[in-house]
Amino acid sequence: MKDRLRKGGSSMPEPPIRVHLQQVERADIRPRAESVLFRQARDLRRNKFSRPVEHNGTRLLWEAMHEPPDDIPTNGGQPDGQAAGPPATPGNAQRESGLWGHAPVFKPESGRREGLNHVAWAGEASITAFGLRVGIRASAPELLDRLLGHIPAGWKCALPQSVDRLYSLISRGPSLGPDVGGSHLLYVNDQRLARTGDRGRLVETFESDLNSYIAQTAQQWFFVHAGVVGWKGQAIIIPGHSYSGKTVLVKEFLQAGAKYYSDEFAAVDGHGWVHPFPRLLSVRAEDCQTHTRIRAEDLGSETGTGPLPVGLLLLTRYKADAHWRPRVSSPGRGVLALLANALTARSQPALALATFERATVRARVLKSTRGDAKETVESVLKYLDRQVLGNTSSQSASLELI
Amino acid sequence: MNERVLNSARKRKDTIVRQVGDEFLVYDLKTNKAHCLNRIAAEVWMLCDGKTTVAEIARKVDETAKSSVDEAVLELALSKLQEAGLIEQDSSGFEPAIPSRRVALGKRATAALALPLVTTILVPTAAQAVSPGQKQRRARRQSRSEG
Repeated sequence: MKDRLRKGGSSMPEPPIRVHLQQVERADIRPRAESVLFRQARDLRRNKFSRPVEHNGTRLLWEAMHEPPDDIPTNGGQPDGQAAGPPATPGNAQRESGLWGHAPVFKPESGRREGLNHVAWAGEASITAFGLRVGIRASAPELLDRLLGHIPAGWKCALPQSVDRLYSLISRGPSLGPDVGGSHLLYVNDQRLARTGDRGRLVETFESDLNSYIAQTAQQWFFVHAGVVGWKGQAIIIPGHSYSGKTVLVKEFLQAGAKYYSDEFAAVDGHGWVHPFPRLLSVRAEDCQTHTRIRAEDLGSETGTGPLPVGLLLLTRYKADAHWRPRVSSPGRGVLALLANALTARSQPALALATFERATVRARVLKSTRGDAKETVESVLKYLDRQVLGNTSSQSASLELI
Repeated sequence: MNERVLNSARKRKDTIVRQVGDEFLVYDLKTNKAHCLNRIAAEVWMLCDGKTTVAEIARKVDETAKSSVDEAVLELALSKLQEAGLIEQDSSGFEPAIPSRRVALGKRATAALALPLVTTILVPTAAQAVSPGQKQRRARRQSRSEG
């Protein structure tokens, strides 16, 4: 195999897959952690890599190993509970489809820090998410596998010739061991983002930075700081800053049977539909100093897979001893609430106004401070079931709640 | 209302305007503030061209709103628009006496919903939207027990 790769080459540097292969062949392969490497090595042995591929003057190996990105199955464009709608979140079903872990190998051109280019990367991946190309490379194979589990839903494999952002993770500790130990480094392009002995914290830092990067950079998308759940084919958006009580409400909605979409950002497309942007719920402890990460499935819920129209905007914040006394607010106020929590509205205000207008065109807007989350959620779901889904007057519904 | 005030009031042009239902959303490109104007406030704002008189505005608003609009309401609308920075005043124009909602309501007791309303928010930068400041966090941690 190595000979074949060498024969196919030119004066270009050897592709990183060689390093990769050497790692695999030497490794004591473990079933879960190195499954990606194992599959890639198996594919290579089946002669899928018969020749290197030239693309824009760069030697690639990706095309031989993967189907075109557009062929990756999605949910078919049908939102949950809806007969028709805008295009689906791209590649939502990637994990479930069996393509999970099929990380493409790429030859990074960035990474100007000299030392990074001399690292023997054990695994590399190039993906697109929300129109952005992101590269990830890790010195330990199981680390790459773990990181791929923290990429926002909707990612696809990408052509690896160039990326907008490159993450490099160097693990100097034991490759398969407890979370704490050794020294782990995370770089973004050529800047060091984190150095820690806690591998879990490194992964959290990676996830947080990647989410923020996507939310601040994605074109044609607007990310609103909000919690989002799906209820009977419509999205409930709870815009608000940190510490406004979003996650507690989202958790309560999930326990009541809603689908999980996000507790951080509402990803709104150009049609005004909301796409899933899930990550583990970060529930703060009583002292607000620590937090625990919870899966939606642990709360008896499931994660949404398709886009939803906005059915309800909840303009609320937690206040001790307050009670949920909602007033129906206008769609214009709803748009203002989205603008006040949107990340990139300043840079493209006209598009933001148009997008949020589409998002709120069918939505009800309720406003109130709240106390107990359970009381609020029960009241909201009752309101939705009676009025929004029953298509009757929202004004009278609000009065009933008061 | 003094004619000079309205004659010197002009709506700002560096804005993006979008109608949402009965309301108008106005994005101020200079200050990055977004305003939500109800119909009566929006109509007054759009008629502020530095030339139209109070009587003309009242007549035009009457025609579209199909209800009488008195001077107190117009003055309240102007003061709210000025407060939001949506109209420009020449230096020659003096500050109008700002009537309270109570005064305007008293004159239009049966049509409270037709009072001008302007709601304003500051559109945050990306960094501001992602995370509140450290001071805010500390203050909130102290004052709240539920995250």
